[in-house]
Amino acid sequence: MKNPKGWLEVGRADNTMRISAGGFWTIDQVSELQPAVDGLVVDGAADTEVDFHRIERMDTAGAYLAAQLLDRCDDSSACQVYSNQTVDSILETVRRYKTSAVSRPPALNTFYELIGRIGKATLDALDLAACFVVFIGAITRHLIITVARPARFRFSHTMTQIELSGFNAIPIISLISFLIGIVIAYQGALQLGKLGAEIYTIDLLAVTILREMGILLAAIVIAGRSGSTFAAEIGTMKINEEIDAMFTIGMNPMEVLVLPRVIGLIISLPILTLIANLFGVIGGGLMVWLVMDVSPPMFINQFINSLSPWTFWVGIIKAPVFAAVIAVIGCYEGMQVSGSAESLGTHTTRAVVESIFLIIVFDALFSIFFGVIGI
Amino acid sequence: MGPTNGCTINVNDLVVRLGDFTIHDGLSLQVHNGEITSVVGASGTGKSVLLKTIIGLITPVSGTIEVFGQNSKQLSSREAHEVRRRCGVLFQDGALFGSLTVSENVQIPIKEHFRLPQKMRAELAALKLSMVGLDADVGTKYPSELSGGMRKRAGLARALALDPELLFLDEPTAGLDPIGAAAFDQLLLELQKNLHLTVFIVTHDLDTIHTVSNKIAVLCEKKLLICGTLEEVSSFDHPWVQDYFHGSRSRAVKH
Repeated sequence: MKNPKGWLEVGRADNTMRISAGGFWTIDQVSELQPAVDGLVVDGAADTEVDFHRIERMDTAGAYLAAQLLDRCDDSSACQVYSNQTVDSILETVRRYKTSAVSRPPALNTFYELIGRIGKATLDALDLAACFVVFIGAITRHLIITVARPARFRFSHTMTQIELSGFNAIPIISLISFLIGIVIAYQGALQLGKLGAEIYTIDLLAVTILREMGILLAAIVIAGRSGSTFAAEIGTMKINEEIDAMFTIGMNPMEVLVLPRVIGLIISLPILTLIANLFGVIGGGLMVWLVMDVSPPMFINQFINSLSPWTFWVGIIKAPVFAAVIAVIGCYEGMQVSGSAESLGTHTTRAVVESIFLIIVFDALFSIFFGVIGI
Repeated sequence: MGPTNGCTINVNDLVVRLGDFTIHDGLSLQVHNGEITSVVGASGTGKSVLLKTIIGLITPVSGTIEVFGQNSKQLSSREAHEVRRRCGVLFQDGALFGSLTVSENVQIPIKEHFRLPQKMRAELAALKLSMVGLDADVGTKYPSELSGGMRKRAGLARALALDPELLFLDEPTAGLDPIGAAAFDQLLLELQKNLHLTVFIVTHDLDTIHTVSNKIAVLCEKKLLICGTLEEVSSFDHPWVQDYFHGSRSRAVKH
C-alpha cells in the first residue's frame, strides 16, 4: 500500500512568506519532505504564514518534521499558523515531547579511544585472571569442606553429570579414536615401509595413542561437548536469576552446580581416555592386519613388547588434570554470563576455546615434565 | 482493504489447542476502532494465548481471525507483512533485543520497513522515548542496564515506532509500582487520544481496567464470557466476575 504524496510549497506575497503543506505527511514521505524543510530559509524580517490545513494525514514522523519547520519559523518576527484538527492534536503531542537531545554515544578522539581500549583490555585481562584464581580457590575450599563433611556431597547430581558428560560421550569418542587409530596405522605403515621398518608401525601406534592421542581426543571432544554445555547451562540459570534464587534458598551454587560437574568430569575423563585408547588400538590393529597382514595374536604380542611400564600411565595421569581444566573453565564462564543472549554466546565460545587452549598448553608442560624425569 | 464494520479485530468461533490441551473452544470477540479493550480472566484462561493467536504467533485449529477486516488465513505473505506493520506489540518483559541499545531497538522497526536517513531515525527514536517518558540518555544504554519499568517503557516505544493503528499490550503494568502504573495508564490514554489507537490489553490490573478501558472482555471456561463497558461487566451475574470486580482487592479502586 503506497500512500499518496505529501508536499511543501513556499510562496511570497507582499511582506509575507507563505509556507503551505498538504497531502500525506507520513513516515514513508518524510525522506522526500526532509530536504524541503531543511532547505527552508526563513527571512527574519518578514512575517510568516504557515498553512497546514490541506494536510490529509499526519503521523508522528510527519509531525516531527512539521515541528522542525515551525521551530525555524519561530525565528521570524511574526508567525501565523493555520491548521486543521487532524494536524493539531498530533502536532501538539509531538511538539510537547520533542527533545533536542538526541541520544548519541559521546564522540571520542580515535587516538584516545585506541589507548583507552588497550588499557581496558589489559585491566579486563588482569581482572579475569584474579577472578579465575578466586574461583579456583572457592572450588578448592568447597572440595575440602566436602571431604570433611561427606554428607553434604551431592551424590546424585554427580552421578547425573557422569552420565551426561561421560557415559553419553562414549559413542562419539569411540568412533573418533577408532578412525584416528586407522589413520595413524596407515600412515605409519606407509612411511616406515620406505625404511623397511614396517613392524615398528605397532610401536608407533602404541606410543602415539596411549601417550598422546587417546587423552587429547577425549579431552578435546569433552571440551567441545561438556565445556560448552556447562557454560550455557549455568549461564542461562544466571540470566533467569536461578543462581540468585539458590543463594536465597540457602543452597550454595558452588556446591550444587560446580562441584558435581568438576568431580563428575574428573571421574569420567580417565574412563573415556581408557575407551579412546582401546578403540584407537583396535582401529590401528585392524589397519595393520589389512595392510601388513599382521594377525591379531602377532599384533598383541608386538604391542605388549613395545610398551614401557609408563606408556599407559603417562596418558591416564593427564586425564584428571584436563578434566579439571575443562570443568572449571566451563563453570567459570557460565558464572560470568550477565544479561543478554549475546553474553551467553560469548562466554560459551570462550569456555570451549580457553579449555582447548589450556589442554594443549598443559599437554606441552606434561611432555616437558615427563622428559625431565625421564619416562 | 475489506469491510471492517467498525471492528479492528474480529475473532470468530476460535479453537486453539496447545498439545492436547484445549485453550479456547469457540471463542468470539470484537474489538472496535479507536477503543481500548481489556481482556481479563483468571490465570491460565488463555489471555496471552489469545493475544499471540491474533498477532499470528500461534495458529488456531479452527475459526477465523480478521484484523483490519482481512482474514489472517487468506493473506499473502506480503499482505500479512503490511498488517504486521500496522500493529505494535508490547511483550510482557519488553522483549528488547539484548545486543542492541535502546535507541537501536526503537529504530529497528523503522529500519526494517522504511528507508530513512540515520539522523532522522535517531531523532524519531528519541521522540518516541521521550513520549514514553524516558530520558534521552537512556537511548545509549543496553536493555540489561535498565530496570523492569524502564524496559517496559522502552518496549512500548518500540511498539509505537511505526505509529501503529492497533496496539497489543501484554500485562503492561505488571511489575510496576502503583505510581509508575498510573503514569503508564495516563500515557496510554494520551497516546490513544492523540494517535487514534485501537488498543488490546491483557491485564490483571484493576486500576488499568477502571482508568483506561472502554470495553472489558472476560475470558472464562475457554470462551468469551462477556464483553462490554465496565458497568455492564461488573453487574454481570457470574461468580468469577462478581468476585473479580467486587472482591476485596477491588474495593480500594471503587471509591
